[in-house]
Amino acid sequence: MTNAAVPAKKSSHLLAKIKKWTPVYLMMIPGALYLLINNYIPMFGLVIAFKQVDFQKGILESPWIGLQNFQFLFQTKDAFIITRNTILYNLVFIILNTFIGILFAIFICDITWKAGKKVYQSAILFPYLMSWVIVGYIVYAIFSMQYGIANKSILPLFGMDPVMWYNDPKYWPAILIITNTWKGIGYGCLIYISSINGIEASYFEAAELDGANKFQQIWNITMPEILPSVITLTLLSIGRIFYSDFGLFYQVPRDSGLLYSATNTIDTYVYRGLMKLGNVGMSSAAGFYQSVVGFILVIFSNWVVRKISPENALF
Amino acid sequence: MNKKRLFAILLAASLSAGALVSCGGGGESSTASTDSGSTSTSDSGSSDSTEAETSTGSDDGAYTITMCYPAGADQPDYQKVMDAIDELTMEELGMHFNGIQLGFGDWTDRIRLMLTGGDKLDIVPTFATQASAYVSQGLVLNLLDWNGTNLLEEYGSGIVDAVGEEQAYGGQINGVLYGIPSQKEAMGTAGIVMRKDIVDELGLDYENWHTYEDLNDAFAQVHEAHPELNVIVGANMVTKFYPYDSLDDSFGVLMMDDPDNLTLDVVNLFETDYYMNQAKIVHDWYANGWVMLDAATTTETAANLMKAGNAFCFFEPIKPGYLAQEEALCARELVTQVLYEDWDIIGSLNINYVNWGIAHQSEDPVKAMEFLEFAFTSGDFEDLLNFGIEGEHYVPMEGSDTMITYPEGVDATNCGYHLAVGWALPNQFVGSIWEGNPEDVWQQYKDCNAASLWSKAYGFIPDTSAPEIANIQTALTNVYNTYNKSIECGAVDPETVIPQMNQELYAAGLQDYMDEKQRQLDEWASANGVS
Repeated sequence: MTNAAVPAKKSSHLLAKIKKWTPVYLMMIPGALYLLINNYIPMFGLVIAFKQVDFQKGILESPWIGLQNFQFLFQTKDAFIITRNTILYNLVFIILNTFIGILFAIFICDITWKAGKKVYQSAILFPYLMSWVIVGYIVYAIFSMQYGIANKSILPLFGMDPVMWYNDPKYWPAILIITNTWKGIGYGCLIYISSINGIEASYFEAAELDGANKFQQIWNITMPEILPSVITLTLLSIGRIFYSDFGLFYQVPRDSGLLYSATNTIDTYVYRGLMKLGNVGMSSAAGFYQSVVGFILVIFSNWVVRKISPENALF
Repeated sequence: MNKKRLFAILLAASLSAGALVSCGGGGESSTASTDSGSTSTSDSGSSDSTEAETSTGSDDGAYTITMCYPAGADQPDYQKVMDAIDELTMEELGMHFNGIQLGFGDWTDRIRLMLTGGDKLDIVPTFATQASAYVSQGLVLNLLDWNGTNLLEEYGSGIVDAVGEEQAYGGQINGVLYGIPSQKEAMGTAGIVMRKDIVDELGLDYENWHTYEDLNDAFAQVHEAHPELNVIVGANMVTKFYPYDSLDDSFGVLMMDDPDNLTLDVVNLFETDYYMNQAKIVHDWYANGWVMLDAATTTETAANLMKAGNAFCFFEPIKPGYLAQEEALCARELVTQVLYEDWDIIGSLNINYVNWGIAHQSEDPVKAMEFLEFAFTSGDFEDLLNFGIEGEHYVPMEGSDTMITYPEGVDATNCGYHLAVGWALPNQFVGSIWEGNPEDVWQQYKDCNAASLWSKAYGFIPDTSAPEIANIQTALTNVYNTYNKSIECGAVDPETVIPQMNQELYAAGLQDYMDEKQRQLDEWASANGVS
């Protein structure tokens, strides 16, 4: 190989690269444009969180007011309750949904009867597709204090007195967690089913030949194989740990004031507080706070994952 | 692995970006969507279909006035009526008309979205409780000063003649006139509405009832005779009858229980004897099993519960011609009795229920003001918008020039256009009167309003938009929401809960908030010569 040949080769290499990758980049354009227009350009709106908006002047001309829009989130003792509720509920949801989701996915994948598998799979996804308003009414049908199934039919069977469900917060952590698990389990389950189906069948055959029982197969083959999906889903959930499912916390407890200590989260607090005011600046501040903390948490959890197992980190 | 990573990064990026973006209008959009989710949205379709037509019809160079207004259900002959109004406005004003009908379920949210989103809009109704927010964010124009022009005096003086000076200038916040109030009864008085069959059966002597205490014996009787019924249903029973002016939000009010001694002293409603007494009575009702157990969480209206046969009575504001309307809703015969006759109060909010103003994005506020004047003075416009086309949707009643009714063979079930929401449109007093109402109903409304006890602060709405005040207001609202519904329906013991609520309200800054209200009120009073 002579020295003179090197540049020529380099440029032809580059040309080849361009030729090879151009179609791929072209294919990326619509998606990238969508991201840019839909997700990145509106980020300019973040400035609203620091302004006292006057629509006759326009957003840019409105006066800056520093962090005053954020104050309402932190100034009362509610700040602690809503933050605690939001984070604890989300942690429980993440753990339960992951654990039960994997469990159900493994069960469903072991069903050999094809039609039955389809039925179970659809049945478990069905609640996920329901609106929270409808779920709220189902819960109300059960727990309504005067006409509900629980007070009218179930409790009398055991000779128990009617319970004032909507007046006492102590029942609500359980009710909310059960409702959320029942409704949300199908989505995660579906993703785990597809990752389990992607595992090569020969692994299991080999394990069986070696005399591994079902539990050993699950622990040593299924779990490590679906770990990347588990980590991805968990990291995404952690990113939204400061958001609460508004439908769950607002529609299901039917906005009963007596239950706020157990049901108030950041989103419902902001909604209730700003309903009347309609203050764009303060609602933006709440969204800003939630997304920035979520962003930091994602970076942090990813850093932790990278320390433990670099293979599985997202980035 | 690399490709997988790239995909994962893109996915993560798009999701977290989505999360960031959703904060832009976060509170706003979630408000709108959840509200329309929880209420019936049968009407939202109509307004969508009309927005598409905004651009039509203006190719002749005439200005198109866009007006949105709240109303009930979809109207099959909507387009026909809009064309008729367009013809009328072209003839009278040389302007085209584009009406956007909004459903009652979500109209305040939709209007806010239209205002913040900058849709084409000229004439906009401002709900009294939203006024402070609209004015502070500049969403509606100041009718007294638009770039130095006094729109009301120069282009809309007919409105002042039509509604009187007091009302025309009544809707002001900090000197900003944001709208002209719809002409309607002030709904000062309220009463108890009962099933006639049960009243007759038990021989209840309701004409002598005047206060909550008077109801106890009757409620006990009803409960004994009909244990299957909820004796009383409905939300906010404690403050349904009120001797105070709420000054916009009930955090700091003017007590008016002594008509000869009205004051301008802002006090905490939740510490008054009135509030505690009423709350105790209602709590006794709840403890006796007379109130629906789920009163705090039900979304069913009292009228629906009456219709279903679950209830004996409820409280409701009573106005002339009320009984006919309510009997239709409840599908049974009813009797009413006004309670607390002395508390017939008009505070700043009562009459400024819906105020008609001009949106900040109006392309020609002068034309918009001219149109507003027309809307407040033209009986033809009022009748067209409210009842449709004469001869097709309504006809004059024989022997009367003000009363109207359905044409031959048309009734409520097959009429192509019938809004009947005069109270929400600009000026029903210039329009015709529907059959079944007394012929002098407008005069009765006016007399009724004149006879009421007017708050000294009538016309005052506090400006709570300063950031530190808005922050306190949010905190107070959250405390209030925690306790309000359960106190109002009697589910909790007021002797323990009300002090607790007061303590939390003060911790959230109630005193500073009331001081600020008092300061603004004093300023307003001296500027307006009230003492």
